[in-house]
Amino acid sequence: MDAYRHVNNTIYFRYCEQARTQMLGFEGSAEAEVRSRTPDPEAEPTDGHVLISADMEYKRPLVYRNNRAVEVQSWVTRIGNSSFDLAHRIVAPGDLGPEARHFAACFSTMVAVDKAAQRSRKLRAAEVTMLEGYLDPALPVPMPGGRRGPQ
Amino acid sequence: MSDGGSGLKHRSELQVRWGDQDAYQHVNNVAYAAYLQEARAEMLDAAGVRAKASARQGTFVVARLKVEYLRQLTFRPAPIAVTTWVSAMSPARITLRCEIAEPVDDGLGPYCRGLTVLVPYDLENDYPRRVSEAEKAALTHFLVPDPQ
Repeated sequence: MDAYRHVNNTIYFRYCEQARTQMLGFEGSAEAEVRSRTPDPEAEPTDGHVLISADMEYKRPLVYRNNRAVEVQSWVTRIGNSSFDLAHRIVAPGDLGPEARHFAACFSTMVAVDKAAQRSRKLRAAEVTMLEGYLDPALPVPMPGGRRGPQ
Repeated sequence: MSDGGSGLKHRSELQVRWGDQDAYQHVNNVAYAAYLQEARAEMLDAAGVRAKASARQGTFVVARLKVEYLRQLTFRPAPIAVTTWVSAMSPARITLRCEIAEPVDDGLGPYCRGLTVLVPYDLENDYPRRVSEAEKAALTHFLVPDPQ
């Protein structure tokens, strides 16, 4: 929370990051636990994903309320050769439908990288399958600034 | 200038903090958003748009923040340079652009490019307001419109 008694704009980036790391099964996440039971033989310890762009649209201020949580809904909107797009919406718990009154929506792009070589790499088949599981065409793709807004 | 822009961009030098790094030993994406916010506050102050921390009127809220991460930034004792300018102004929104780069150009381009949309907003009445004439005049100081 900041001096305006709003959750500060930078914190929304943290919420989305947290949701993203859980979804993509980063080390230590519940998703990683699940996947560790069926390991991908092609996976390398140097595999990683980096964020290259995040575009957040703030719709309604998030104010501090006792015992009230927010939910971050995350899904995949595009899968490329080495990159993919993610959408996030920050909503009141349970408000997950296409018409949700979200507090903020984020559109972001990530790239698969080889952390040791510091280069992008192709997404592995298992990663593509994992990402496909998070495609949700029913949800509106966030477009901060609109089609004709500044990019 | 014919378009009313000053051609002047605001420049801040900020320190990367040890805790800004993440497990990849990169400066974390959230820290960039904080650097842009810090530089934005300095730019607004330098322009003469001064809202006290306790102000409930005459304030701005962030309606959009886009960050493009172009180069890895790692912890270093030397400061980084954040350049911030007003790229567009209308009665109900102010668009800022910003860049994080080396204080002395190393020819490798910026670490990040940002776009921030500020909306003039009265917290007291919880309602959007208009950019005042005084704010408009002050912000013109750092107005560098996007090339057409």
